[in-house]
Amino acid sequence: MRTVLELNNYSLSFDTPEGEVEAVRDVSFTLKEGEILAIVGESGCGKTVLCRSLLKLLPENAFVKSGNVRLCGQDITACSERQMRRLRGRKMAMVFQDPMTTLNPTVPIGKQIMEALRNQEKLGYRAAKARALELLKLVEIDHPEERLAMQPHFFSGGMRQRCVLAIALASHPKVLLADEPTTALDVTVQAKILDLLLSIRKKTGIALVFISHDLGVVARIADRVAVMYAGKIVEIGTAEEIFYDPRHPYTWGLLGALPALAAERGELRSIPGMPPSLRGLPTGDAFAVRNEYALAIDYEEAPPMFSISPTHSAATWLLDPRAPQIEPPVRIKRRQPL
Amino acid sequence: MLILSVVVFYFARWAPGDPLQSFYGDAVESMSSEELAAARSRLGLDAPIHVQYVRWLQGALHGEFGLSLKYKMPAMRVVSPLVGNTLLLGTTAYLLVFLLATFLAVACALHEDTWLDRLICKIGTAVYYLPPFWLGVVLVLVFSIQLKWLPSSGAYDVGKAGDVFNRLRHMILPLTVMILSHLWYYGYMIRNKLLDELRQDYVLLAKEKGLTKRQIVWKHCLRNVAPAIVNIMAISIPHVLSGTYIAESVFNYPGIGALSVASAKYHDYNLLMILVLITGALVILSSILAQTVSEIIDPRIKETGVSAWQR
Repeated sequence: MRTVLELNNYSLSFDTPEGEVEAVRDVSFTLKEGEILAIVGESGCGKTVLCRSLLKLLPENAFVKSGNVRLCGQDITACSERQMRRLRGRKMAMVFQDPMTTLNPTVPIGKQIMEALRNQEKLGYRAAKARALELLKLVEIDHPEERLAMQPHFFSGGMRQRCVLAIALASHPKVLLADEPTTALDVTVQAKILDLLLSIRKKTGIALVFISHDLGVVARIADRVAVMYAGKIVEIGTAEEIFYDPRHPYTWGLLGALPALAAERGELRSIPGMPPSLRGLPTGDAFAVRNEYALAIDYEEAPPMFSISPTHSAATWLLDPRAPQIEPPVRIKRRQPL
Repeated sequence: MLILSVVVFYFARWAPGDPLQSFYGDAVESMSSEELAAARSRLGLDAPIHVQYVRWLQGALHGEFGLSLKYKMPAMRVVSPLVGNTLLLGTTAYLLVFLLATFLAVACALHEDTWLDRLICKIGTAVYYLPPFWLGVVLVLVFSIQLKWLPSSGAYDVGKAGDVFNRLRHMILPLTVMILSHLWYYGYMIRNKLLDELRQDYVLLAKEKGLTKRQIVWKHCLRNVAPAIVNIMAISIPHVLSGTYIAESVFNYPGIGALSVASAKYHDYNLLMILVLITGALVILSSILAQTVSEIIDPRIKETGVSAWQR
């Protein structure tokens, strides 16, 4: 399997009047063809920023601080806007969170899809229309011929997200960044969109970066999972490893907060405290203040990534051989398979 | 319209001054009080105001708008040749204002927060606050008196009423004043609307499609802002119209604006009334027109009563 997307020690900051905001810190991962990598974490941990920065869709005060991004073997870290325009949609595309706002409300769906085709593929009107119909069928929209001429407000949320997906898939991208594509939808529609994503992956072999804060959704779709906290990946591994052998206290916290686990005790658990502001982060581990297992060293030095298996690693001092052996909380170990 | 006519009718008559002065000119000074009373009753000015109003209204409903006191002919005949002049000047200015405003706004939106945007904003604001009267006088001084390039007043030279080029030359200075004094007010509004649109999520998707910022602004944002522009245009008709009236007065351009000012000054009640009614009708018609156009551009307005940009 070829590697399609590779991040090496990628850090991204925003230049703001109040100082530098470190939104993404030292993120590394690889994504292979046809693979689905989920990035999970609380709101404000930098998931969306990471995603948008890969396509360079961020405001101008964002800058890459270090590291690089390789897309299909090409280093795109320093690509100009002009070069990025050629890559967008063709190599890497994106689906956004809220399908109610990502489509232009006044332009018919067909035109919006064809715009992508005519722009990226340089198709003529007829060819673009034929391909738009094909795409609408791919994303399982019934009666595509009639719907091409309709404006987005005739569509339900799920259908709009399908249309956005059709636009993203227009030029056969290798990587699809899905930024919480199901969060704004209701649960039954969510499930259908997830199934659709899986079936599209099967048909096209596209690789997915799937961003979500919903571990239930992630369990259903992801091959691998990266847990992000305060702009950093704190644990990464296969879905099995993250769900059944989590090592980072933050991952324990996230899993413990799943409503499915609350049933036995009848109350919802949460991780105490709030994620830190990404402006002027403290030294040491950003999670230390919320971590009930924090060690003294957590406040002084940020933990490196400890490798647990070739696919699984986590950034917590608990994995250091010198650290006290701490078992994950019982509620995490005892729980039912998801 | 009816309310408007009542209000203006009463206010005009409350204003100090004697309409006979404008009817008879200086001859009033030498008239005896009996003669004055006779003149008043002949012109119907001696009755109580409400009686005068009912009389006027009866006439107006039959298309009789009474006699102009100053010009001593039916008010309608005084006004009708001038309506065309005003409409020509007003419409041209109006369209140019919004055309230029849109271009400026797009230029600013494309270069948001660069020197170009800031420069346009600063100059635009400074120019907008120049008083149009003063601006008019300065323009006349420079271009008519100093450089002798352009005529300072009138709509056309004597005997050249049909000469398009001659008419255009007379319109340049009034147009300049009107455009400069309205342009940035609307340009800035449209600029901000465009910037709001540029923050919308669909812009990200459009960008993700590989469109340039220029394409996004022209094809997506401007289209979505269009109903808002049309609405602003509708609301602004009275504003631009009042600008026309000022420009007409400054440049002595024979239109209904200059005439309105004159008729109010000379207590030419019947003339004033018809001018007010024409102005009112224009405003109402333009609102209806704007609503229709917005509905065509953004079909959601018709369904929900609010347009997208109000949500």
